[in-house]
Amino acid sequence: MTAIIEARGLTKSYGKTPVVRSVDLTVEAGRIVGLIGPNGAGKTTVIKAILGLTSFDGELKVLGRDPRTERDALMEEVCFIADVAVLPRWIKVSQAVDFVAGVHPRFDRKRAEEFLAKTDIKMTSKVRQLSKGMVTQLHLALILAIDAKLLVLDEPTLGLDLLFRRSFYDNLLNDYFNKERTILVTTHQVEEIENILTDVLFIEHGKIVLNSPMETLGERFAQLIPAAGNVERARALKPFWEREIFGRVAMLFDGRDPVDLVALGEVRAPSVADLFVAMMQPVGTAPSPASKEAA
Amino acid sequence: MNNMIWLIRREVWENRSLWIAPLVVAGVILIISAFGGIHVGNGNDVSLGWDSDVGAHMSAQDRENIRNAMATAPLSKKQIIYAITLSTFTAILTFTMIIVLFFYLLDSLLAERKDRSILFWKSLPVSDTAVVLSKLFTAAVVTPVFVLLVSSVLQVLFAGVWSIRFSDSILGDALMAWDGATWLKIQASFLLLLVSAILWYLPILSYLMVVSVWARRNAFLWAVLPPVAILAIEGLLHQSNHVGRFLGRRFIGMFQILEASAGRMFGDENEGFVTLGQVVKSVSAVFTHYETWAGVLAAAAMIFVAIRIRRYRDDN
Repeated sequence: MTAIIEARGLTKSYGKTPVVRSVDLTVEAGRIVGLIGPNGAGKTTVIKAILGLTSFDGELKVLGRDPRTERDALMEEVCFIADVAVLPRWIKVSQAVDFVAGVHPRFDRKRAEEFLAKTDIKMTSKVRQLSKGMVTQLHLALILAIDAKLLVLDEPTLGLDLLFRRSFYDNLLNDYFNKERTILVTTHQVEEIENILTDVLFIEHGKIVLNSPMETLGERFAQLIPAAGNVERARALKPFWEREIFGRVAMLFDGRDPVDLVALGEVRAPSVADLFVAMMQPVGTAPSPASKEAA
Repeated sequence: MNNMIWLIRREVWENRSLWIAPLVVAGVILIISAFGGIHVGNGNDVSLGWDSDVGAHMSAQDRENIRNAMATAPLSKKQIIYAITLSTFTAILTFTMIIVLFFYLLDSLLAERKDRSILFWKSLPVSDTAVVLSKLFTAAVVTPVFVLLVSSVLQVLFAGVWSIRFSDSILGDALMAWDGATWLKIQASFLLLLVSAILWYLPILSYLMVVSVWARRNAFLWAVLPPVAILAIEGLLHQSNHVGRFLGRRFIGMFQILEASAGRMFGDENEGFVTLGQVVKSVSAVFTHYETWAGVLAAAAMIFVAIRIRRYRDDN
């Protein structure tokens, strides 16, 4: 099985500012990968490189092709929603469906129309008459009807309300995703997608700092809330991050035997959001007291 | 090829002024020709209105004389008047089209970046080459052919209106009611002229597209100011006008070549209305002129650049 995305030493600078520094990355078929990082970490640049929208150094193969030179062929099998509301505002819903049906060999018009029938979107409306949420629904309807091998989503739900965000990911999972398909998604709203991800990638300052399947996250990382009096002993086990929540200390450990920790207090698997915050703010740099990220 | 048709359809959807503007202008011409009136002089020298017969103030004898003169005028003269009248409409529509195309081309590769819809278009399996060529083709071929069709229909309708309205006046005598052979000749001539005009003006169209793909905003200023600035600098520093002559030649050169080859555009009063053979001859003078093909080469280079910029541009 060849990888869907294979990057070796992927590097990109704007002028003298490096934004992606020698990223190695492998994404296999049938995965849903979350690419998560703070603003300016290089997420969008990695995605642009994958989509052939920017030049880069290093090696990158998407579906076995070089996005720099084989972009046109690649776009038959790769779909992306680069941002919310990039559909042209002048276009009618029916025209958008007609156009994609006209140019995309893998577009299933019936599927798109069925999906649209479930929404409040009228075929005669123009995009400029639709709400932001409806524009995203329309975009999703077009994308879901394309039989693509790789779907790339860059902040697909930014600025949408909770109901639209929830149904966006529900539709993605129920109507689109299967073993032959791969999804790469970036978002700020980590909590909302961590349940659907199969893999998580953290990127910071242009470097991948965590690359793990979701199922092994719990084996590797543990969160401990030490019982009163055990805090110093727990610290001796070298947590890589700690913070205070309501007067109690929570610590995160990387690669500690759970047996050691259970003796000291309450142990559980950290959420991706917790891990993200912890890894972006290592010990000593964490703002204290407790942030709003309380689990 | 299939993609190309959809891309052109897309241009027509998005840029409705391309076809609405000529239709509106044609409609206005038709309405004016049916209901409008003009008054020259003190209102009774030449008066043209639905209820006023032209020359109504003349004596019966004068009118009779004019009618006789008209009736005995050679056909070739009448054909020339006829052709000039009908061609005027094509000229007005062409002028409208030039204005619309100018703004269409300046916006053609900029609007999609301004509203970020380029990210949607680029998510589809359509090459940048196809997109850029579809826009050029819409401007250089689709729109002019459409305008020519509109002008052909307008000429027929106008002839109908004219013959009903002035059937019993001097104007009716002066202008032939309907001359199918001349009409066809006009259409054929304009079609030939169009082909040579496309080739001749291709570099100007391409230049506007390069500006459009390159500018971040104010494409109009980017298109107009640099040539004007170069002109001014040359004039100030060198007291010469090579750039101006070069640009001027590109704007009117085709007509200079046509005229050098054929003499009068509509033929000579004494020799009669220009024949199709003469039109072919003068248009082939454009086809065989090295400046035409130098322009086409320059256009090809600019279009290549436009495609490359659209493909590799990375607006961060």
